[in-house]
Amino acid sequence: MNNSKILLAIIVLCFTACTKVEDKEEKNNLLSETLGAVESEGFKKATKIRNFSFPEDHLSHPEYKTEWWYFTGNLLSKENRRFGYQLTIFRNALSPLSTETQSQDSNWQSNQIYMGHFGLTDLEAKQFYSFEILEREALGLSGLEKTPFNLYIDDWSIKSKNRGSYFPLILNASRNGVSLELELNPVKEFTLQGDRGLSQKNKEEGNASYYYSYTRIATKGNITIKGKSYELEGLSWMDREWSTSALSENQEGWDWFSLQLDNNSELMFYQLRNKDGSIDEYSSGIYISPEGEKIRIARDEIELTPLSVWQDKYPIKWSITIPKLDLQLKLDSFLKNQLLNFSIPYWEGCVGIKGLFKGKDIKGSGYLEMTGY
Amino acid sequence: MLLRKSSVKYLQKHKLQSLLAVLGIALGIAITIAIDLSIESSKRSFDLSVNRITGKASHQILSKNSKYIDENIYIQLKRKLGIQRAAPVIEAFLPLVSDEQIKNSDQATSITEVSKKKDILKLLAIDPFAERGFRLIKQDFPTKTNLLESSEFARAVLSKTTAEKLNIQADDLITVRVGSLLKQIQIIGFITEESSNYDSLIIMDIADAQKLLGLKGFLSHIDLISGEKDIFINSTGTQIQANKLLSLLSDKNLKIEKSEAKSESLKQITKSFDLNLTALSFLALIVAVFLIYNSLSFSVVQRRRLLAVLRTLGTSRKQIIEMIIQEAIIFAILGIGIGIALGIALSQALNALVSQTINDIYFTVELQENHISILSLLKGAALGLVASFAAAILPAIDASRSSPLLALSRSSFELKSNLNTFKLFLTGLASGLIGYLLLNLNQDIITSFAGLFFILLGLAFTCPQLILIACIVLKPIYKSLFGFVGSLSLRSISSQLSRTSIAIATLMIAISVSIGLSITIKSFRDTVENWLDDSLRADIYISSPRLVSNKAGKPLEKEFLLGISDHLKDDLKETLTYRNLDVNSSLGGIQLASIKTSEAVRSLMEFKTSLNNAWQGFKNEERLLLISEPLAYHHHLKPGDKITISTKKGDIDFKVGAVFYDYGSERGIAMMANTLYQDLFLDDSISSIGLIVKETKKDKEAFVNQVINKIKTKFNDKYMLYIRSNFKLKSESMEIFDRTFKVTNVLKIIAIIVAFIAVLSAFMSLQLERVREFAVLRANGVSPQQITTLLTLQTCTMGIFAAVLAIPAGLIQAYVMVFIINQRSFGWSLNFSLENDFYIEALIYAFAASLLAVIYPIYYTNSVKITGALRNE
Repeated sequence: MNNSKILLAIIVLCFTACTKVEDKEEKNNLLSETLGAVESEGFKKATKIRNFSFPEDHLSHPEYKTEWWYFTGNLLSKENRRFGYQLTIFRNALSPLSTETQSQDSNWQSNQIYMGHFGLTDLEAKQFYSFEILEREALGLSGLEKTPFNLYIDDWSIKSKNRGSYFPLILNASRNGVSLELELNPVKEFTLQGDRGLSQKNKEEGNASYYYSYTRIATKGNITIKGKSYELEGLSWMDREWSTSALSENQEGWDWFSLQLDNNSELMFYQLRNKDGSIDEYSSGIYISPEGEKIRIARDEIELTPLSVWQDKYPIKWSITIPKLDLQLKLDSFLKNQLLNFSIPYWEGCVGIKGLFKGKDIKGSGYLEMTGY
Repeated sequence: MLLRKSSVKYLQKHKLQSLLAVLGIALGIAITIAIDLSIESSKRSFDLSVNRITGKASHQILSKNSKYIDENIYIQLKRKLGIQRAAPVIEAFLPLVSDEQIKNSDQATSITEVSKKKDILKLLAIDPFAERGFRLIKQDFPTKTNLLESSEFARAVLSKTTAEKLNIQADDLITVRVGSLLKQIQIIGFITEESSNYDSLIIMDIADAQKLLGLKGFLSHIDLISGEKDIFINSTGTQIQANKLLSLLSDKNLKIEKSEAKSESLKQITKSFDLNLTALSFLALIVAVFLIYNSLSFSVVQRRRLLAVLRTLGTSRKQIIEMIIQEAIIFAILGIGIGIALGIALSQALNALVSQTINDIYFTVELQENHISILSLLKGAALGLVASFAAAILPAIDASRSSPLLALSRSSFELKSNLNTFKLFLTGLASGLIGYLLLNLNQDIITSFAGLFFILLGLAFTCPQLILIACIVLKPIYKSLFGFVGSLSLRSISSQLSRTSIAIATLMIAISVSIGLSITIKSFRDTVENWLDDSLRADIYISSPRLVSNKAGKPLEKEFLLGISDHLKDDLKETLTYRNLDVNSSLGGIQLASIKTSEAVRSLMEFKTSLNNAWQGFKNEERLLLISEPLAYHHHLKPGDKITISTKKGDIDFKVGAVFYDYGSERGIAMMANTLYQDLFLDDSISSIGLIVKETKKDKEAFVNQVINKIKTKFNDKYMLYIRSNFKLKSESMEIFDRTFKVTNVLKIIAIIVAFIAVLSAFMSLQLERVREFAVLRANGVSPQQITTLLTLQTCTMGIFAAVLAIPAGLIQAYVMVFIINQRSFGWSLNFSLENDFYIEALIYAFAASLLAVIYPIYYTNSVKITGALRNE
């Protein structure tokens, strides 16, 4: 995935001036009004290739300002009812990790803030649900336990089912009677994104993140909406990324694609949009073949064309052509309104894919994220 | 037409009387409205200081018995129960300490000094992440920093208006007093809300507030937002009824209240003050009713002859009643108009006093709201109308009923009235009996007031009969002393009883209110003073200044305690220690104090009742508690009864060893031997200490001051201490007491002034009406001097009657206030303090009013020409 989400997280937390309170009352006031700004000095930056080591790198990296555990997926119930989900937990540091230990005078003292985003698309009912929560890492409101891995915020959690291994992961989230409980088991090993896991977002040194993905994860579990439960199966995608700074000032937003094709291949691509309307040269992606071969895709190796827009801004239909792979895809969002109307609104939703691969019909599903619109 | 003319003509002719009638109504309404408005304003100020920060919360979870709740309750709510619309809150008052005060620590240590300052900030500590949906407070952060980052100082956002008033810029440090310490807060932003509701507000993150206040692990309360019908819907969609919520939490000492209820419970702390004012407004109401009745009924009674003439001319009864009622309504409307204006003006003056008193006692943010409640005005207006109507209708019906011829002679009415006095007397006794029964009916304060009302009414009803008897008894004495003028003066009282008795009863009630209040306050004051004398045996008292009255202060710093005993080892005979805190018990939350068991301490306490050898047992760490009188009263406890107290070592049963007198706390307090306390609560901290200095040959007070200075020089730089000598503490306590009752005293004086004017108007009208009578006397050879003597004698006699009747009435009021209403509200035993001053005071008021009232009639009577006066009639 991308710098994108870094920006998102940073903007959310650093939002200094209250822009539009108006009727959106509750949305914007919170952080901007009570928190103020956060400096980014003193944090480590992603400047060089790192030796990833697991399970340690599944855990948090508080020396970097921000990171996330990002899950999206397309699921199908026994009754053939289609759902898309997104569950993300972000971590943000208010200050660089210092040697000072937990305050003696208050359990609430913490420089780590966790943010949870939960989106659920019920395609048959044409309903999209989205929820956001924020908590500090204190008093069990949010945090990360190492063994077994347990990342939680309020009553949402992403945790290892067993003590000894990261997978299978159990995802739990519920809000206002909409809940999800899923078990995730990867079908493919992880993929290091960018250059061996260092994902450069622009030419400035340090404007980069460490980034790896599990691109194909078998998923089963339940979704409950207002008292009605569905048993589901399908595929998930997991992104892990941490960094301190990423986007430059002239970068405006991004379009990010995580696509799972039914020939057992996956495609990830992010397109960084500059404020002048151009597409940034640091836009990049990767193709993972059915055999597990990883092929990097550069900006000039892909053609991305929006086919139709929703609300005059969000392109919810795309055509993607990658000549070097002989791949042509058409993406259509299953539901137009999959906008997470949070402090900083962004569109993130499930999409259906049809196309041609080496002249043969190909299908699939995936997730599309669009920010900065 | 004829009637209207007659009415207008009468009013024109009796301009002064009409004016006095209107004034009487106006004053009655004014005093009721003024007191009512002041009370409303003070309550509103309280509400405002609470409501502005409640935000959109529908419910609050609070501790049943302490100021704070365990923060883990919040975590349980969110994680275990999945209740997401919850927000933790810590509230506190933070007195600002100015640079001058820091330099001059002598000033800063005095609680009375600090309470005079208006710069008290109201702290609202929150978790910004939980605030979504609760409070929407616009803020501006010019400093580009945030509330959550940890820093050397607590970080806060301050009300912009307050910041401007105090000239505080972004990034400035302000100093506040927390317990015995001075702490600094960094202002990183401002609340930019326009409303004055945000004045003095300071917002902080929970973490900083806990650090600042030393409240690790605690919250003031948790705000909640429920769905419809008080049902909470958790994240998985499960519905939880508000009253079931608590059973799902681990702490059993919680309560859940609706947000409106919270301000109610906060208002409770002004209970005693409220009661004080309610009593006053009630008494003012009685005075007002009499005043209005007096003014209006007089104008009707006065016209009996004229009305009789109208009857002989063929006017129907109905027409006469209508005419009088119309008049009464005109008077009432004028009176109400003036009364409301006067009442509002008066209330503005009272407001300042009331809010200052609240601030003194309860140490809260002073929010002066000159709020004019329409309800209070309506109440006053309704009172005016009803009383006016009642005052006019009875005499009107009476006048319309009597046969025209008979009515022409006043004596027939007076004869009838004489016949009625006995019935009235019996009615009075019956009313008194009802009052007595009401007082004994139950423990309710309202019923007690109603009882008092009936007793006073009864006393007023007995007036005519008693006056008649007095006139008969006094007749020979007056005759021998003043000759025929003497007996004539008495006769003019008894023959016009329908008028004189109302005037006397009005004055009587007004004076009795003043006597009643004086005795009550005096009794209260003397009792407290005696108690202070007995219980303040140590020479020097040191504690942390308290933020809220009647709440336990912060413990003294350990190093200070060690330091002081070391520093003063050559000067001290004994150090008494005291630790108080809120604990859970079978009675709910109570205030517990752990005390040293030395003889010096024993001598501080006067037992009301006790078990045998209670002190010995207490000393020997038997499980005995000494409880104060209010605690015993509120929970119906006597020595030997059981109280279970939750200690660190579990719930432990104690026996009540003794009940002691104490006026320091309305709620009451339980004492435990300190060694036992330390063992059971694993707490050796000390809230305050009392130092007894060694015997010295030098002047004791000088020596004590010398020791105090020694303490100050050594420790004042480091600690914020509240150091008082015995003498100073006593005088300070009395000063606070007196200030608390300042409003009462002011109102007492107002009541007297009103009574003064009332009696002036009543007596004046009475005498002015007799101009013709005096002309007849003059024509028969009575000299102007004799007329003057007659007038003076009659008026003063009436004054004396009122004063004499007011004494028992005042005593009864005081008795009810001291022994019944006070007992029922606070459970304090007060000594009834009677001083001759009150009676002399009452006599002086009566005399002064009478003399003043007589001046104009004398002047008028003697200046009119006899023939003219005769013809005019």
